[in-house]
Amino acid sequence: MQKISDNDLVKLFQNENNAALEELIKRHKKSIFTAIYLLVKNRTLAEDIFQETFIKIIQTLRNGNYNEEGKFVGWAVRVARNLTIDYLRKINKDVTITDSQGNDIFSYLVIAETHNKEEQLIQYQTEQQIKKLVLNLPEDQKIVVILRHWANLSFKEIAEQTGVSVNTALGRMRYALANIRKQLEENKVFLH
Amino acid sequence: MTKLYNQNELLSYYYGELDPSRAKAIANQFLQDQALWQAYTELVQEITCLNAISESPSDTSMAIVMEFAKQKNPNLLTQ
Repeated sequence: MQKISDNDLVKLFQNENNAALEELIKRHKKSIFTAIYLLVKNRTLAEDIFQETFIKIIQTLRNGNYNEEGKFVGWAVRVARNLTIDYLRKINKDVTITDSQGNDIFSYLVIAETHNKEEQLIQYQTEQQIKKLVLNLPEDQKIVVILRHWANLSFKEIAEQTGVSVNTALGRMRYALANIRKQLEENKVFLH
Repeated sequence: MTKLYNQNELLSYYYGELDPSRAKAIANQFLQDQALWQAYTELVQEITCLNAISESPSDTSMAIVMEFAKQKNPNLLTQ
């Protein structure tokens, strides 16, 4: 399918073109799933919320309640975030799932293929470090990073969604990035 | 020309959220101000390191979503 806008794909799906929905999901699944994953810190839970998010999205599109304001990805992550908040309120605690060795499952990452084992190990360790640093950010900074970098919301949209000024949203992003950089330097992790 | 120097503006510039005239002023200033350019490249490096984090949903999740989409009655769930 040739590249057409997200909103056109939405309209096609609303006219019962399932291939349009498939294209829409394929286009944005990594951004949306990564955002969910960083919100819940658990892969199994992220998969469940990903499925629920799109079921809700499909229902909303079919009911004609999608108003085309803002970006599709931003809306999808907003739906996912609300589902996550509902879930966390129900259980009222952090959920972790461990493997047979007692390791937290969320610590595993899919890594890009490299031919050099040493490079692969360094890349994996860097990814682990960065992920840990993002997950450990103060909540208000983490939300801004997730919404800007993966959900692709503008700072204005983030400010509206989080109830702060644009300058505050920008400031939180700056502090988040500075925190990550500082931690990487202290841990002697070098970015390439 | 108003002198830029505001970290928030650099962030907005990176994400393309400044009005065009201001963005152009900043771009011009990069040519004259080495410290500003250095600050911007550091910011870019900080942001792009986030790209190391990229997760994908499983094929199972994708299949479940598409199966739901194919149903005529979206309120019916099948196991």
